[in-house]
Amino acid sequence: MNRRQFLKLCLTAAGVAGAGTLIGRFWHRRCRVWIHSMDDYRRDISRDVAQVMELEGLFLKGKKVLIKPNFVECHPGRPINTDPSLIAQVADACFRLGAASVTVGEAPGHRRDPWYSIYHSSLRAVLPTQVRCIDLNHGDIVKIPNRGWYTKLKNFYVAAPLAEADLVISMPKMKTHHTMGVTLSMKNLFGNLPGIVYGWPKNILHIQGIDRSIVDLALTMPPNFVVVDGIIGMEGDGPIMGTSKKMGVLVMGKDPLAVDSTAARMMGFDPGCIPYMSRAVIHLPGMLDEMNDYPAEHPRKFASQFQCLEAFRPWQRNGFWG
Amino acid sequence: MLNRENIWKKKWLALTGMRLPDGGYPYYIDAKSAVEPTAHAVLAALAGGVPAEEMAGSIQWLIERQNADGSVSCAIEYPDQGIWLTAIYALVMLKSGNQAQASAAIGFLIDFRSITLNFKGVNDLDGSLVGWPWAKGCFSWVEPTAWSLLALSASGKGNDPRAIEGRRLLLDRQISGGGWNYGNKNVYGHDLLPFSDTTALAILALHGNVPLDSIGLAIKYIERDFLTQESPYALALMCLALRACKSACTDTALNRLETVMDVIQGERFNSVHYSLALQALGTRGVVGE
Repeated sequence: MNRRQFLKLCLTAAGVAGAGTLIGRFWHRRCRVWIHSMDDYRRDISRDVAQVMELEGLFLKGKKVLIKPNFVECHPGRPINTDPSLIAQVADACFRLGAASVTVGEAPGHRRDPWYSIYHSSLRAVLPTQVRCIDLNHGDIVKIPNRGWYTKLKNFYVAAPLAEADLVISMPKMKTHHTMGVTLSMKNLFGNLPGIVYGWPKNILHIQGIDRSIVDLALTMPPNFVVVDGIIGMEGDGPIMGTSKKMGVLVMGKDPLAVDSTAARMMGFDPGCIPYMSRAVIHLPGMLDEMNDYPAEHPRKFASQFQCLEAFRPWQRNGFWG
Repeated sequence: MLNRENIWKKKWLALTGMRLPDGGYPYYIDAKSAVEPTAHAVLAALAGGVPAEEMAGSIQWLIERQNADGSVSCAIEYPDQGIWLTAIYALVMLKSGNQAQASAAIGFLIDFRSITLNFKGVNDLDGSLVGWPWAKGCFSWVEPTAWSLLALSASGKGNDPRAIEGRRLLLDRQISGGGWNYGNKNVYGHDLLPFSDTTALAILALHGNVPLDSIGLAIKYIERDFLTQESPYALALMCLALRACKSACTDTALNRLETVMDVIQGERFNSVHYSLALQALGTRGVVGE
């Protein structure tokens, strides 16, 4: 080996070590997941949510905020959607922090008719009048490059109000899912994409692989904050045909994978078995329980196994804390 | 008391207020002109007997959006996105007498095929049937198949092999209790729930081309459902379907639509919903007749 080759080798080794350190730091970045007890939807938690957002460094003053709930189909008695009163409380929390505007937007994947989702009277009736409800399935669209590489999609097309928002708060419902095991904030990203491009259902994403599409979306348009409605979740044949499961908890945080993997554990699932979480682990922090901090309550206190379809029972191992 | 024609004219004015200077219509008040709302506004005008010249600017706006292959996308800057809209565009061109544009669009639709899939017990449907997808390279679903069938029938190609297979596909996707959702009737042995809007659309596409008893349960479903239906979008499509089937409930359903469509206002003013309601309330049948 001559001197030039030796130097080249040293430089390569230093580069690999540096990159490894950076990736390692990122993987091992500690994440905070906030667990708040909430027995029912009557309790006003807007002050608590505002406080957590502030502690997490979210600056909302003068900002345009878009709340993206999971609000896809209204069937009385079925806990399919994020509860409207909780959405209203989070909107209120945003105003407390000085948000210039708050919009609630959703692009349901199966039901085109927005009168069963974002226009539904149960939602409009409880939201403050200054909060607008927007059907993200129809309207102007904006192209944004796909920052992931798990699908073959070069770009994603999103509804203009979503692209124009300064901050996006994802508000999924804690539910089982008949193809992905669980649906939380990362799966909720499907509802960012307009049906006029992707259809009902968003079959392009199915063809590309649901788990792959979720990871690409999480890398391209991660929400700025997540509030999981785990007060009453859905178990069994979710996300539509399941039954209610009382959990009495809100799960919040800035890191979608940290929040989702914590919620999945609370539901009795091993996050490593959830296809999109296992893919996302090399890109996003928060998958390892020992690297997450729980500054409010510990999720162990609320953990309770969700019933699920037979096919997903093997994924329900190592879900709970010891 | 106003008769239905006068009511229609009054409501039409609200829609014309949405027309943008370029001749197109947006989905919402603060949005840009888009293909679907413009197409439905033209169909609404035709249903209400508005002179064609009044809609010339809108029709021209649509014509300018047609791609060289005959397709139409959801936005001119993204020519390969939302091409399922070609079916509605074809219908507008046929009904407004623009034969060249209609022929090109129909030609595209004939070649626009869904992929086939084998579901192996997950979904109880025949994945080998070819219909129409929402986007290239995707599976077939109820709404794009229904609109494409309506366009093919209007163009005189109702007996094309694609149309025949498309109708078989819709019948295969019907939920056992009657009606359709987006196109998946059963998952892991459990029947899914029908939707009123897609059920109405599928009835519109099938009525007159399949034995009546094969869609009888679906018709009964919307004849029950309209009484409590609060969505003006669904109700408009249901009125169109009930009228096409000459259901005895049609007038009652139209009366309900007149009332319910008043909720289409403010942030909830989707001009497609409003136009569909006007198509249903118009005295000249356009879609599915």
